[in-house]
Amino acid sequence: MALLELKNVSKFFGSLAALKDINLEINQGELVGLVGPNGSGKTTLFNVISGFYHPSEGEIFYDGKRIAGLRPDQIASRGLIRTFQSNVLFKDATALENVIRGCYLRTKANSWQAFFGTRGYRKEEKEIVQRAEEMLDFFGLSEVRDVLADELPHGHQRSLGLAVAVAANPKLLLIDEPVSGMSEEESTVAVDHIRELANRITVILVEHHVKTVVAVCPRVIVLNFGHTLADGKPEEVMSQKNVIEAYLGTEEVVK
Amino acid sequence: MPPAEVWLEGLIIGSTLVMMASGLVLAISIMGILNWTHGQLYMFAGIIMWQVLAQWHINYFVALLAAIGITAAIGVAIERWLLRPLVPKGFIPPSVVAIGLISVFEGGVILTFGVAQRNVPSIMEGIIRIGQVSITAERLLIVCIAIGVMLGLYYFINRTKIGLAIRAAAQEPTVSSLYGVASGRLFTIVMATAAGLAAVAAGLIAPVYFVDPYMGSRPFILALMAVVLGGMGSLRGAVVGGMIVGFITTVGGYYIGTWYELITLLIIMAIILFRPQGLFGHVEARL
Amino acid sequence: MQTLQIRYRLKTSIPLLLVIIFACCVPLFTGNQALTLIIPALLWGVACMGLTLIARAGQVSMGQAGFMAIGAYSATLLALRVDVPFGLNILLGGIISGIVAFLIGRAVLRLGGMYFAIVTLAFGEVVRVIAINARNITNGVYGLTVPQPQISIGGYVIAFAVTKAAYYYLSLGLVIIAALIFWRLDVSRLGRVVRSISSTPELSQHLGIHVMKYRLIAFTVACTLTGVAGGVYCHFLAFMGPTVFVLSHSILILIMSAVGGLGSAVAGPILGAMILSPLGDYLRTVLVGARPLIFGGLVVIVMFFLPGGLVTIVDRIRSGGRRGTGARNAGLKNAVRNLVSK
Repeated sequence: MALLELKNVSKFFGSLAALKDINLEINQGELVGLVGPNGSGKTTLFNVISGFYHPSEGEIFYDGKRIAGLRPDQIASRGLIRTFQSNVLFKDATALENVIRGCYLRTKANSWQAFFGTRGYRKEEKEIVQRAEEMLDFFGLSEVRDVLADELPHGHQRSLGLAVAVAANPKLLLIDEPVSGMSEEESTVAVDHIRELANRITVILVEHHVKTVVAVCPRVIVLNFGHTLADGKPEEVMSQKNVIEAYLGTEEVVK
Repeated sequence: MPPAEVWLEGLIIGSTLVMMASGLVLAISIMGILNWTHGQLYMFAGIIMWQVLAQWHINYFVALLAAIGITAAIGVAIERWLLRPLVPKGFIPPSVVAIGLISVFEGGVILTFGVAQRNVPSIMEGIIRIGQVSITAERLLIVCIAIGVMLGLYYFINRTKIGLAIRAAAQEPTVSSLYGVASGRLFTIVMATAAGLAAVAAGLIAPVYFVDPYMGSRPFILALMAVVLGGMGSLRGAVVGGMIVGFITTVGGYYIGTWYELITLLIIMAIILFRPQGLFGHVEARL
Repeated sequence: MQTLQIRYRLKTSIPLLLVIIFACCVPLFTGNQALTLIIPALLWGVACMGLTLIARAGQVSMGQAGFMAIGAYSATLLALRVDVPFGLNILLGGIISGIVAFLIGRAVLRLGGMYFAIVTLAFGEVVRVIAINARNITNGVYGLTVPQPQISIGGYVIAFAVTKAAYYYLSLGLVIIAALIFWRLDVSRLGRVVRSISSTPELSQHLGIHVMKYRLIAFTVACTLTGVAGGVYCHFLAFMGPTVFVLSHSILILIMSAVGGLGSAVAGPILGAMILSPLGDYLRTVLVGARPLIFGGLVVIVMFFLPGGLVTIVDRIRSGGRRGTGARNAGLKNAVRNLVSK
């Protein structure tokens, strides 16, 4: 059974069809790249899957259960986590604090236990801080743990966004343009992290830079104007005529 | 059927609220937050009217102009120096300052003018009979002025270029800079208009009722109700809402006495709960 | 971090204990007149802590006086009409306040800050208007006389009407309990969640946080305790009427909280209330109009020059200008930043 299944999903904004008849299946453990020219609907797709938008039409199944129409926090609590294209972070908190907040879904103690400060809760809190520090370490952000998210350089903010998302214990992680604005060096490091993550969890990766996606993902889906153009192995997909046409006139080099 | 006096009263109160509500809508769009000082601007204008009319014995129209000018200046100053600098910090700091300014106005006016209710001397004497109805000449004049101002306002807002910019600003302040009027100056014009409207409202009321440091809060709350009813960001809504609330207050009050306050408030709460965009506004879905 | 917390706990526990012991001894050396100034200050402190919690969850409530009124009227009517014993009636009053808050909150907390402020404003007015008009129940503008309890402890009778000290200890007890509750809410994971929500609600949602649930918890708890404070207050006044808790009191609560420091869950609001309430009472007798002017001016000045409130001065004195007390400073600074620089 597929981990994520979209059946005839469409999203309309007024008369504008941002997504039209999307059908796809993602299986557990896959690392899927999602590409397409600007405005093709990649982020909208993420927004619909994560519950930020409700689909206008169609069904979305996650782990066999219907999730269309649920609140984002309900969807997130089932292990479906996404990152954002822009730097959405807790700007007024430190990097460490950001990741700690991200660990919300890892907490088992309920609100009463938290309020009264039971031993189980306190132990859990200690563990969370530890986990958060490990997470920062993994993404190479240990040095900036006490820096306010707002004051971090762009590249670090992107990584922090990813760290916060991973902190939320995802089974399926939707990563939206993780290396945009990063230097060549930072990108390589980030991509390595993503590759490692993909060993443990299912990842859908949106990336504008086609070369990166093609190099990293064993499977690529191409969107254009809200439709799926192609879905398959990167070499095959990228040599399809309609895909090349879609990218013609843009600066993407599809080779 | 309530007597004509009640309807006339409704018209006066309604017009006053139309001014207040329109000003409030404009101020809100410019500031991005609720202008808590709007009622106090109204009160301040009223005090100026009294000072000019009762103390210095200058004629009504001069008093009105003075009130409008001074109040507009104060409104602009508050927006530019006390509220705008704090807006980047979120919506709580400027709101807290605006609320604090309510007290500053109240205290300042009490200290300089005292708490007593003052009567503004009548503009004109005489009673006019129209059929079975008799009204004071003064009230009739007020009504005429009110209608005149509203027509003038309508013309200004709907037929002039600046009015167009103001209307755009009411809906979407950032977009209005496209209309060629420099953004900073536009803000000033809109804020001055907003405060000026509050002053006109006070000018309408002062001769007919009394003036005191506490006169601002009820019109403010009623104007707020009118804006919610009409819809945030909609001047047309402010006009319609203002009239409706004005008539509920007077005519409704005639029928159900002081319970009308409760009805108005509950209607407003119901609107916010079930149709936050009011009659003509647009929904601002926030988390 | 744990050791820092323990060190901090010791550092604040001892002075805190001293303050509490001192507070318990106050009636021994002050007369009734001073107590008449202090008791309202304590009760406003509770209301301020409530407002501060609501503010830290990202909303401004202009109707806290309304919740105090509900708590007060409920307590009074329960005692007068249903013979509910003293103490229980106040508690129930608070709970009724909380229930109302829950119902209103469910409907309005999802809306933008402006709408929430307007609804709470309207709510406060609705309470006042109902109180004025429901003459059969509330006696309208004439108000209700609140029965004064008499408690016998081992043969010794405490007549609340006579000994102001009794009300003092009651209020002090309420403040301590409320402070504990608000502090625990702030310092625990619940506080972290609330801060997440007020900082970036969209991100919080996508991390699995049910934003409405926590906003509602904050609002309900705050208003319940505020209702209890209202109940105690009207017993202290021995009177409850529609003019006891009105819009200007809601504004007062906001001003006291802001001047004390909205970035602090307990110390700021209590400080603000303890300083401004007696000051206000004094100013009112000296010169009419001075109080609103000074209070309003203070809050404007604070927002511009000391956005963390007066409590940040206290904090600076305590850490002697050093940046050493790690967890505490970071926590407070972040909290202030959280609130003030969104």
